[in-house]
Amino acid sequence: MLDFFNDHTLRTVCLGTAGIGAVSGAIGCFAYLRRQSLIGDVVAHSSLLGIMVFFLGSYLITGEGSKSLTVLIPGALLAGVTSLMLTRWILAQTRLKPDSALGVMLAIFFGSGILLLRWTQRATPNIPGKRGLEDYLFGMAAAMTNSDLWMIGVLGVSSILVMLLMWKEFKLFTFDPVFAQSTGLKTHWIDTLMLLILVVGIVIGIQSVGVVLMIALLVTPASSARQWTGHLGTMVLLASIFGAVCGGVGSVLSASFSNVPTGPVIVLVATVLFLVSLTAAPRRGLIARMIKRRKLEKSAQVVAAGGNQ
Amino acid sequence: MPKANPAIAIKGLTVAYDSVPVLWNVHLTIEQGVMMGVVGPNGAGKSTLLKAVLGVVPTLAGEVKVLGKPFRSHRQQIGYVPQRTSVDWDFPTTVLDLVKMGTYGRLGWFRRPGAKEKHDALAALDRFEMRGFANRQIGELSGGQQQRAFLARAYVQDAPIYFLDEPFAAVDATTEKAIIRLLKDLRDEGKTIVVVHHDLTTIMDYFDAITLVNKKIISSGPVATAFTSDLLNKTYGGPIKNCGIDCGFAQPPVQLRHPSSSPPPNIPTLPVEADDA
Amino acid sequence: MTLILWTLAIAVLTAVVCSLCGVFLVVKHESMIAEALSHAVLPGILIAFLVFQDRTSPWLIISAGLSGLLMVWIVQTIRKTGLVDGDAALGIVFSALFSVGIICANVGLNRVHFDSHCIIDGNLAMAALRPFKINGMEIAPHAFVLMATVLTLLVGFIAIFYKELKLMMFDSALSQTFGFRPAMLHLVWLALVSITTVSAFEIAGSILVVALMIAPPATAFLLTRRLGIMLVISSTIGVISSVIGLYLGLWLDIAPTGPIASVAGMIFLLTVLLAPRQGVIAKFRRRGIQRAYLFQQLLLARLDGDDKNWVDNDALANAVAWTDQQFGRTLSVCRNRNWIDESSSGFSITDKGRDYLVDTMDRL
Repeated sequence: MLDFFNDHTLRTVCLGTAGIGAVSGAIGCFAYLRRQSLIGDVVAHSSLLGIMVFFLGSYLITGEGSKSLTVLIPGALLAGVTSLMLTRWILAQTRLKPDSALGVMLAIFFGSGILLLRWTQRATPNIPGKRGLEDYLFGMAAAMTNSDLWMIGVLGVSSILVMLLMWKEFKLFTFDPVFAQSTGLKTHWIDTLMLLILVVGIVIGIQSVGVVLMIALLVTPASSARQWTGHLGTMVLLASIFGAVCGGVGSVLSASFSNVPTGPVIVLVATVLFLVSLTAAPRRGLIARMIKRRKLEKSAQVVAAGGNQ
Repeated sequence: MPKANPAIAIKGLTVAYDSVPVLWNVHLTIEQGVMMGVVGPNGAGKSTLLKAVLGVVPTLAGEVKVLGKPFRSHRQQIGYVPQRTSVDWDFPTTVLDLVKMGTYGRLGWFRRPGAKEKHDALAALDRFEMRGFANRQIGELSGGQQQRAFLARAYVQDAPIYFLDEPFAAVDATTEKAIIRLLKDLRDEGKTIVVVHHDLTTIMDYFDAITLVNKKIISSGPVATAFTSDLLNKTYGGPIKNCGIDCGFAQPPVQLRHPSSSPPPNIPTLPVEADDA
Repeated sequence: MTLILWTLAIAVLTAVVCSLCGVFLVVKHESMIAEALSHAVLPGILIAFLVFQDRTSPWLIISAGLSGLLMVWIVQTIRKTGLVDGDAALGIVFSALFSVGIICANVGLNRVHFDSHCIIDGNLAMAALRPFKINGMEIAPHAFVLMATVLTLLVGFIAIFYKELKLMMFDSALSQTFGFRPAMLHLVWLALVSITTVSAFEIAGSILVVALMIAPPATAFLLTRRLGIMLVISSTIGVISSVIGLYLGLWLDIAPTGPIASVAGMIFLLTVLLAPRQGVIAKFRRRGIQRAYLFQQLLLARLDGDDKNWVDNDALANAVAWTDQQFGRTLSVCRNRNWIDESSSGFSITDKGRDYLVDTMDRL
């Protein structure tokens, strides 16, 4: 334990992933409620293309590939937004259903992203700065620098602020979009804003868990939180806490084994928490349900027995 | 005495999706204080009609006036009770929260609902005998309770007009009667109630007026005159001929009831059984 | 046969197998199962490898298949509780299984044998190297034999049970009344999809499996509504993508799986644009024509509503949500066809115009 407080890098990493987890958990609540988990998966995978394009762009401009987040995050954001808009366009123009359209986006963006990644890794002459790009697949939080953390912090905090400011509009629109529009709300803007925040949350999140596993960081804390409360505000707060805990614990655990990427460990911690929530939550949880059912059966038996007299 | 504005006045409304008309040249007037049923086959545009008046779907042509003013300035005058299938019942919200949503329109951007909104919401729940459910999750309600919660939301909006989209789908007969009773009470208080309805057998009992829709308005008026088997055949049967006769201003706008005039038409009251809906 | 040709053959077989499977997924709107399965099978493969230490062991496929079915079972169970959104449950479960797999790969295994490259990219480039031996005689690459077997199984199944499959996909209730046991058929079908995914996974890696199971079928979906033709088109596109992609990979000196996936995706995008009836360009023109007709009818209807009165230019222009350009065009068409009269006070409808309007109303 003492090691933890002495090791500056470990502390930074832990706090960083906890922060990321908190933001993803909160934003993930709305994604969960809007049934956009698959969209989140596709956006996450798509960001890889943006990251690679901007990395290669920085190499072409400066002669050295930059992995600084100030370069890569805009790329990721752009790719995420583009894949979303392209999906919407395809859905509007063809009779394809969402699952197929999303799947194809995945193929195109992630396939191209991997193509660029592998090409970059094997290119001759050597492209400096390319080591560590692979971490975007499964996350390697230990690679975060302080300036990275600043950028993550700024983006994360602004997203949360926007969410809090627009709380009741987001809530109304998520629950009843027709009613929301009928009260005069500009639902088109609300929808766009929510999607933007989703993309920002995902782009931040992939820094710790990577693109392949981002969907889990997005929806697992939210699903877990939902089991414990029926109040949206509490749910978002809980999901935030869950996300932070999973992020922090996961990154510390994965740091103990040098070979293991951060992403899978965080996801497993989150999954354990999810299973616990599913079974043990009061009222909704499976155990609570079983107890309620037993009680009902017992009282039904009593009534039946009483009726036989 | 000047004639009161109709609750809803629609002229020449056309709505098209992908350049395919879904509603064509709709002329419709709904007077205040009337309980109107809207019927038609599937895909006839009934829900689209409601949504067009609410301003939720883009219109290609036509004009909608709510209480005499262009609808854009009067959006909050309509309380909307959605189809049950389009609601996410697992959404984490209590009944009280749901009703409070009805106050968001008057709060505007950024302001939070406060004590006054809570008070108004509880009063609305009282009105529909749902006070005891204030802190229940909406997913825990029965069908009738769900409808009453949404009615309370419309009520707290202080809306003079209520739109209900298929409120009786998948609801049992007792609950249905109880809800009709509630709607009629609202109508007697002067509210205008418009219901998209699917059960043709109950039209005569429930409604003062009826509108038959199948992409165009086939007929609209008091149930006695606008709900004939001929017109029904036309609505549900084959293609429509000679539109110039049956729609447009060739038919005089329906005059039914003004709150200050004669007592309501004689509609037989239904015996209401146990009101546990 | 040269190495490259064998690799090509393997790629083609894999593509056909995945595309065929994928058609049924797309048609039933279950495409995301492909994505989920391609992640969920990993722990199965790795555990079998850990135990048997043999990459060619059939146990790898069986274990992977079980892993896939485990995922399906867990997700169904979670969905049944009604406590969690269905898509989210899928995401949570397959990510968890995949994470187990990654950790195993990094901790339990020597990185030489399994690493993220293989998992994501597959092993297509190396696939032709491992031979399949009968009595010590090398016949063909192991991967080739594997995919050929899977293809035979799949094609056989589809051919024999074609009408039952088709019915089950579209109307399982009817299928039940006919005694075709749709539930069991569905289970067998899922098992086949798992086997396909698993066999292809080792060669193609997770992205390519998903790409081939979704992109070619989605493309075929845009070109036809008939299941049989969809199967043919889908496989053809799969083959084309793998050939082009393979050579692209060779040229760039990288694993061919990324390029094949991208090519499949590009073909899809091109089809979205150019498809004869469903394509964007075709629809644009059709919609344009329909919209022109609609505007003409709206203009006439507006004039008709006002009986014998003249409607001035501004009132007419504001009656409909059209641009000035569209309004102008509509006016000139109506003028040319003598549907409207023009005077200093505005426009009015002619008898010819009224007849046309009544005519089109009949067809509404």
